[in-house]
Amino acid sequence: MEEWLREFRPIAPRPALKAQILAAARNPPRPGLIDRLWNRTTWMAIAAGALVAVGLYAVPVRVDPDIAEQAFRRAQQKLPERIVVWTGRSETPRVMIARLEGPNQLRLEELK
Amino acid sequence: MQTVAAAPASMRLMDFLERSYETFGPKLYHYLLGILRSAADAEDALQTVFVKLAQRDKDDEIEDLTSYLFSAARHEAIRLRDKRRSARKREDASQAGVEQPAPPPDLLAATEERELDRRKLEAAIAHLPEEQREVVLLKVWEGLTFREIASVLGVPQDTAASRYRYALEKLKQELGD
Repeated sequence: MEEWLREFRPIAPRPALKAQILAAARNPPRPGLIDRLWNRTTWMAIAAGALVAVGLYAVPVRVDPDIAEQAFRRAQQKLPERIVVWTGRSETPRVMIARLEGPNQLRLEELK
Repeated sequence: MQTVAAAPASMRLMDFLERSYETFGPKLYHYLLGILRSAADAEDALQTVFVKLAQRDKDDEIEDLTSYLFSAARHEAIRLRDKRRSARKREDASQAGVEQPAPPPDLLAATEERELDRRKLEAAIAHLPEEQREVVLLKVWEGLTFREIASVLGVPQDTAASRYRYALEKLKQELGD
């Protein structure tokens, strides 16, 4: 049966198709804006950004309560206070400057 | 099976594409024609396959070019066919099917004295379930092994072989052989 089937030749593409396809492959159509925005690199950048954001903001800054209270009092007197904090999941303490952000809030700034 | 570990860096892309077209272009076209039943759609799908081959990431190695190209062709054919179907549904809803679709193009060629056999065979192939029809096309005319067919269709090798066996039985019955 197979041999009999093979006696019939498959229809071939028109000869000009080869040049047409190779030309298209050489100069591919430029992807649309949406495709360019949402390519794989973009998704990876978004995922990396989300991870950094979670690392920086979602995980709380830990401060010793006594130090925080002292820093708060000094900040109320407009005296910038250096305090020791632990950010994110890091076990390594960092020294930051505490300034008064609001009536009951401190803002931590990087040391310059 | 033709194994090409991607295009070597030294080989220019266009040479690689040209050689790939010479080896696979006509076979892919015939396979696409069998699925899509439209010469224009088969040409469009074939072009997309080669454009994607040219654009692929250089780090993406192609272990088996035969399976890669036929899989890409199949995906593109399914995408295009679904697109055409939904467009046709919209047209039917708005115009209540004014125009009859064009008859499908021939898949096979034969000498004048075998023309009657060819027509019977084309009709028998058209009556096969699609999953069996594509296995017959891939095995008989595109020359793929069952391992390659299984890889293209995403089914076990035994399934590909049994689909082929059922298809041949149906063709025999229909052709009165």
